[in-house]
Amino acid sequence: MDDPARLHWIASHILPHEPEVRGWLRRYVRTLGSHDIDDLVQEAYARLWTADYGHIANGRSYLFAVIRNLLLEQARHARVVPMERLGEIDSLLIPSEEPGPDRRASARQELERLESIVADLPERCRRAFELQKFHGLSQREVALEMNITEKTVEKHLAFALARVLEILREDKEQVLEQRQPSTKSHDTEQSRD
Amino acid sequence: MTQSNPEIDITAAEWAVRLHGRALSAQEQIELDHWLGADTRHRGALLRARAVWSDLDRLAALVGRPKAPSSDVNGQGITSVPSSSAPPAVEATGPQAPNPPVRSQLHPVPFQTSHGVEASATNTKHDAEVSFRPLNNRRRLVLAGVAATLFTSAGAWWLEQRATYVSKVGEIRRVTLSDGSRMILNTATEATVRYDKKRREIELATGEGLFEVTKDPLRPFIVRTGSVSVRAIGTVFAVRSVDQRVDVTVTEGIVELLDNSAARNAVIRRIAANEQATVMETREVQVQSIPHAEAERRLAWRDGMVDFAGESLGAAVREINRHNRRQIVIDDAALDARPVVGIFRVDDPDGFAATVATALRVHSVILGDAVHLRLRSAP
Repeated sequence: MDDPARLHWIASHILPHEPEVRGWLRRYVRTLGSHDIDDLVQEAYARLWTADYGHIANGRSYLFAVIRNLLLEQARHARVVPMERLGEIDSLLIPSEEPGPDRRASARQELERLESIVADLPERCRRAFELQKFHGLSQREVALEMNITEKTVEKHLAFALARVLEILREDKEQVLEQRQPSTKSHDTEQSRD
Repeated sequence: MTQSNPEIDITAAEWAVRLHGRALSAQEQIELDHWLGADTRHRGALLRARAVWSDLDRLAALVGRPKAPSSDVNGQGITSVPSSSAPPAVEATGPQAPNPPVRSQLHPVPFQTSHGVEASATNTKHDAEVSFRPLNNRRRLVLAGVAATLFTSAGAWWLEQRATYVSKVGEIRRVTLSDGSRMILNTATEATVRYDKKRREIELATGEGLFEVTKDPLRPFIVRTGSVSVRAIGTVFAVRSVDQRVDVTVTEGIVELLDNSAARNAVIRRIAANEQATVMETREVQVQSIPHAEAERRLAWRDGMVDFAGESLGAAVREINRHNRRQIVIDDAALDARPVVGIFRVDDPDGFAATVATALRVHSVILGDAVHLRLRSAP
């Protein structure tokens, strides 16, 4: 998958829809915990590793479809399929409305958001990130400029990226901490023959 | 052994940066293959991390000079947008209005402006101050305004929204907002969404909305009606504004009720989970506690869902039937008392019957305008 075109495609066709999918999972599959949602999202991306993305017309529908299939697989493998989950998957309210009609305005928002993340990074880490991402220096050049080893540059950059990934996840999931499914323990054993 | 998701993301970030920056050593390649082989989630996490990392290049390219030669590091032309000190010259390059509304920043800014900004930013120091300063915001907006005019791709993973949603009579409309928050409009409702950096605002012109708010301490979520506003950070609540009367029901978290006519953001009072506030035309406010289950239930149907936690099938069917022309009929009284657990669409009796049939191992049969649930004949 060392394929810039694939990464670009994922960045433009899948990433934008991840928050919506997470929100949707949280809302409609209440039996899932936050780690379940992370698992599902990671599994969904794993499918994209080999997927023939050139033939995927709509990234959003594709992402929802993959997630739905993963849920169904899980339901099939579960020894007892909770009725709740069955009901949810069956009725599967995949939202038809795309969020964010005014996409052109979003660049500013994105930039500001990125800047606020960058601004919160530790000083050296922020510097390394800025030099590479905003000024286009290579890792070696960043190392020279900052008078540190390339390994350390990598550490700084990885920290910055991990922070972005964390915010992408966290941002959408804090509601979950407050929202414990109230009927989680009701299994179907009691409602089955 | 098994990594937690945050740990997976950290490892994925390390590999993403390495793969992006240079060729791996043979030893590293082995390590990477080993890690990837250990769990399919690792592959997904790496792909996601790499996509984000490369997407940051796209964003960075919007900020300033995409690829400056290294000799430029200490020379002219270094943009330092995220750095916090903004030289005064920058202000002069901004839009002419001294304090323009955010919206106006979307007007095209001549591309030269960005060069002006860059040049004037030459002696910006990379100091350690990272707080947001008001002065800096203006500068950010200038650059971002430039970026917005250059930017046409849909590859935005944090979005701004500005749109009006209307539900017709009898319609329940669900909208997922760009931050993952959800808004469900009950019948005959009009709501306008305005998101920007500082706030997430919904103007409820009329009708009723349920808001499930994703937490964002930096951007409060505000629902405005004619007389009052409701401010939340991350919570679930409904606002109904009909005939000069506003009802606010909270099921999770706390919201603040603000008086629109008083001094800016004057808090009338706080409303906690399982409370319902009614604001009359006179601005008189009454707050009453309601049981949590009741609050949930009140909101569940607004969401187009019903939530059963062990109610009898008979009761569940009555509840579903209330909302639909197509009725569900239980043919065998023996089924009446069977418990039902689950969340169902209130407007989908067929789906409900099919699910019940699967879970309870009974038959569902469609006869005329009704769905019948009956025991299977003995094998």
